[in-house]
Amino acid sequence: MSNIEIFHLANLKLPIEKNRLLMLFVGINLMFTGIDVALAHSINQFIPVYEWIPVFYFPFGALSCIYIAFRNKPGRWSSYLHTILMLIGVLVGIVGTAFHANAVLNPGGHLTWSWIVFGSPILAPLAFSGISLLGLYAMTEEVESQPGKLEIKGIGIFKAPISRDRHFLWLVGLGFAASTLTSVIDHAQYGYTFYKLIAIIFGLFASSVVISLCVSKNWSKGDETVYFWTMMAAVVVGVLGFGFHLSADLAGTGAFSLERILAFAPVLAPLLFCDLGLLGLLVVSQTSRKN
Amino acid sequence: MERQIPKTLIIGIAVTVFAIILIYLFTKFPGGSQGISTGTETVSYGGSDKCASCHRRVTPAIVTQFAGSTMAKAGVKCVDCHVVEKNNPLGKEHEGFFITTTPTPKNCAKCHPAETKQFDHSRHGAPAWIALNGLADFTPEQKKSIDRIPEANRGPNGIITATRNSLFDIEGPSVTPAACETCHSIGKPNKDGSIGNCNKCHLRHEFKLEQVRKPEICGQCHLGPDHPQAEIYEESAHGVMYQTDGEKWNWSQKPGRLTVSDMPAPTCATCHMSGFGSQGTTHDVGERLSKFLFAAVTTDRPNNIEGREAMKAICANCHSGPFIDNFYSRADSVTSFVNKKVQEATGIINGLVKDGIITSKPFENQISFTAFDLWHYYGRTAKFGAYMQGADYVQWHGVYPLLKELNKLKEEAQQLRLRHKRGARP
Repeated sequence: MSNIEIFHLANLKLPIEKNRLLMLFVGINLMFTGIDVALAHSINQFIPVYEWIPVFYFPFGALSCIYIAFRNKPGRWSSYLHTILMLIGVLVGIVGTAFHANAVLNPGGHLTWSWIVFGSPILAPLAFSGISLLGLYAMTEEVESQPGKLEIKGIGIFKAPISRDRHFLWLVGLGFAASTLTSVIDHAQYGYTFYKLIAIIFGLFASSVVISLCVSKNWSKGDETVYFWTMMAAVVVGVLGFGFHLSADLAGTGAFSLERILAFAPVLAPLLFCDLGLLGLLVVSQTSRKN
Repeated sequence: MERQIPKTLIIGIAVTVFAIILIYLFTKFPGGSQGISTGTETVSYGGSDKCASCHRRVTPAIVTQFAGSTMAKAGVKCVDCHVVEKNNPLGKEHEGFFITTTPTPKNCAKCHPAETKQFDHSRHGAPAWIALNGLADFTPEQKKSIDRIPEANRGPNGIITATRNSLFDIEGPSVTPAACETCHSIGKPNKDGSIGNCNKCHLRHEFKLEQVRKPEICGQCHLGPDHPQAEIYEESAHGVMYQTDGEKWNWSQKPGRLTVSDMPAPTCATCHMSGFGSQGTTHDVGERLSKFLFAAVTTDRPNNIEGREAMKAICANCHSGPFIDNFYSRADSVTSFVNKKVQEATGIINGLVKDGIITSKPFENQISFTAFDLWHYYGRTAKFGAYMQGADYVQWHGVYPLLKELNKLKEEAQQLRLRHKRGARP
């Protein structure tokens, strides 16, 4: 059993320790992101052929994360393999962003707003990069009393400019920023009605809270409280968004149409906020093993 | 101790307010969100494409049309549709490429396999050509695929065996290429093994969504005394809404995203094909239908219950359940009435054939034409009018002339019987 403490505000008992929970979190995220990508790319039958790349990658990345999460002591080779897979994941995200950007920014050689708004979401593939980086950092352990010195057991020690926890926090902050920017662009398709502004306003607020903490050296108790409740609110906003998207897809008929689920409001997209909220709580939690 | 406002809260609120103001200003400035349009915008066509550089001089319209299309914006080039394998019977050498001048559904299926499959399964596919020339033009492989179409085994006059249409025979190749074939070739077999022609609806080289959603595209063929769907639609309330407000509708909305906000009233495509409400997009035009209205005597389609429910789901986007049920009940009632009258006429003709007064060969005598007009023009018009809210077409273009024609047929039959009795030739 593991006792999780989030600042001075919450205490939870979990059956799994923090690092393993993080790794499991990454694996589940990779799985859902991969399924979401597969559905999105199926709209035009995976044409061109490189739309298959993330679909082929994600099962390997997800399985590796889940395997590592449940192994007591991952061996050297599994550590190597996991590291390589996570690095591939980072690459898949960057290359995917380049493909999306090329499709949107250069359909005929010049920029058009309609393609930025209605075309492939440029920042979406970066989700793979972010999640894979998480998976990479979750594999590491910080050498005691040497913030920034990260060890991957069986592979070696690496020097990073910031501490391990700060890495995680930056990923959360940038995740919120990317999700918010995607939300701003996507919601431009049909105009900014009130409930769409919820996602945008909250996303902007959450991004700035997290990033401001990333650059702060010292956090006050007030900062911690703001951060905590922002992450909790992220979960609520995500669930709300899921409800709104699902309602739009059901088109008032209550009937399920796969075509609308794929082409209209993406149901899994708002859950990114839930995801980031939970991750944000997890990365700042302190955990100790309880015998 | 004095409570300080956390700096994260101050930063969070400040950044949020600033960003919201920026977004608001962006939507207000010209070229901001006003620049966001769902319409197609002309794309400067890639000069590296060898085809365009020549055809820009030789057939400039094609290049201009394609350059502005969503296909071009998606990165589709001329070679993607026109270049075929060396063993393709429709191909020929052209400036270093082996191309076909008429891409078939086999070419389209490379990127649109689902749509092509649905089309193949529909009456726009093989059955459209079978209605003219029977199964003569189809290869054994094509015939196998036709067997899988539930609706393919019925000819236009309800006869199971798919034989060559008599009128098509009588009029012959001097007339039919400019007449029947123009429309029915939507299902013509191609030498590369595919069936049909996507260009009939998706006019090259623009391939505009707006074009296929407007009723005029269907009205190319679905008009005239034998199937006046275009005219019926024009009379209907839906058609009036289209004619009066249609220029404000969002014609280019992406498939799967169409709602009543984009199209407050339906066109042909909306009801029969588009993804709308709970229904997904389909290229099987029979998927939402429940009856063979084109037939002399209307019967239920193989999947009539599912078809009717699917169409009702489309109606339900705007109309209440009782309204829809009442509408269908009235239309079914008209169909039953027409069926009875056509069966009565068929009975009279069959009686004459049985008694040796006329032959069974169609269009050999005047009464045969009368019997044909009765169901082929007036019967069908009444039925189509009933299901598409064309009251005048039900009554004055449909049932009334049907009754008049039936009366005329009875009188002609009586005359024939009298003459036969007296020994005269029909």
